[in-house]
Amino acid sequence: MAKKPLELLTESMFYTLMALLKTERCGIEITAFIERKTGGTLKIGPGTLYTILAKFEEVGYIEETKIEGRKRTYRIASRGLAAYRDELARLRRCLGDAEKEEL
Amino acid sequence: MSENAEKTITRLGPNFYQIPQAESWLASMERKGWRLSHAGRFLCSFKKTEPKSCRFRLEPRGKNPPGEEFIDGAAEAGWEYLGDWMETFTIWRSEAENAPEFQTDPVAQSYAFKQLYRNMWMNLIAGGVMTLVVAAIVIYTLLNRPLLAMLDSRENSILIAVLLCIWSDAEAFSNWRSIRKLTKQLKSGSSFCHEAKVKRSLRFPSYLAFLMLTVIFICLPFYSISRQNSFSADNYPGVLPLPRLAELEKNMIEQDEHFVVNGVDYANAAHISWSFIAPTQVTLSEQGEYLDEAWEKWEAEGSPIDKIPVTLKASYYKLRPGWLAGPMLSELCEKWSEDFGAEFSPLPAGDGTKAFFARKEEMQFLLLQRRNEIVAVRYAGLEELADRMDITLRKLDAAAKETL
Repeated sequence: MAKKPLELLTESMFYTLMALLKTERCGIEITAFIERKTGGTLKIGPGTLYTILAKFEEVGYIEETKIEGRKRTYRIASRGLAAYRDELARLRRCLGDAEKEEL
Repeated sequence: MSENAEKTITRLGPNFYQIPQAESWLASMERKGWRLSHAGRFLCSFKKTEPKSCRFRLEPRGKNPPGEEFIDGAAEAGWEYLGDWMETFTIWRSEAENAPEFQTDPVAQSYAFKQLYRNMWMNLIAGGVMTLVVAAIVIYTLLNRPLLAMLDSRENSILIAVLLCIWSDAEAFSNWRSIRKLTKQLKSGSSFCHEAKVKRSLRFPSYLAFLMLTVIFICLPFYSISRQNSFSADNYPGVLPLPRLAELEKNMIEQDEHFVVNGVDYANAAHISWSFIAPTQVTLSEQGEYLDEAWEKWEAEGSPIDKIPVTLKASYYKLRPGWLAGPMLSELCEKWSEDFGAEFSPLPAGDGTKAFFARKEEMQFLLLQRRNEIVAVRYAGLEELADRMDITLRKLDAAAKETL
């Protein structure tokens, strides 16, 4: 039976998927990507990152690709990609509605 | 290495399910110069260190301990992994004031808490069912005649088991509520406050009570067995507080040895045992037959049996506290009335002694209560047991003198 998708993607989860969108990364690289991408406005705690990675692996959003020494590398899976795109579409709708409201 | 760094202390640990309180307590210990080195079920060990201000965080562990990459990543972010508590929580510590908070996303954090909460819920149900089963056994036993049931030390053990189960369930329920509250808060997107005052006033007496009950529960069967013994009636050490068959009978009787095992004639034996409410219990069983001389007296009456048997079963109880003797006497009356159809009438006994007598066919029953002592006699023979009550009272006096 397919795992249930997560009910919502928080900001940390969204950026974690974003970090894996184009390339495989390990945990430390994901943290660095998020800090760089958000200009340091979003800090992701170590507990949060690894909880998210464990949860994403459980529901099939990401896959572990290799283990090198103590480092584990992940890539986004098709379910994760679909969830990311759904969330992106939702955010664009929200943004579009907000901009229309402002005009 | 400085002398201080080798010093260790052990303290009663916090309730780790009360996460904010546990984190605050560990931080306060570090501020006093004691760093956590090991967290056990009840006790925590600390090593002497320089007093420092730092943060502690507890995280649900899940099935596996944190991976090496996780530990390395956390260390890079300024968080040190100290180990886990009971494979339930991982313990993290940070001295760096500018280290990011360990968890920055409450919703993500709630995932680990949800799993813990589910496991706790299943354990609570299982524990509750077990407590109900054990409690049902106790209630069923005690509903009828509780004091007579409590004469058996096994019932004492079951009662203690119920108390232990109830204590365990109460703690499990309190912990479950605590985790449930945190989980709901996290799911709603709110972090919980890590600063909380540690309430220790009730923990120590509660744990002490649990420890004492556990020790009693474990030791009770061994102690009870050590207080049990059986002797041939003739070899009872000291003064038997019960009338012997030969003392009751005016006619000569013959008592042969039967069922001798390890030197004890179980057909004519005295057994001693123990329970909380009756630390001194003696049961005497004797049987015999009237000798030919006595039999010949009744031969002319056409006795239908070859030899006339005579039996005596008597029990002595010394109760603690003494006020239990009255209610136990009532229970014995009820039980024998029900079991044998005997109807008891009071007998005058004087000297603060209560006596009840009944007869049903060839069986005679005598119940005596004096202060905290009870004697219960069942006799089947040719004597009038009510007329021989003085012998029983003399045996009680003699046994009491020996005790003094």
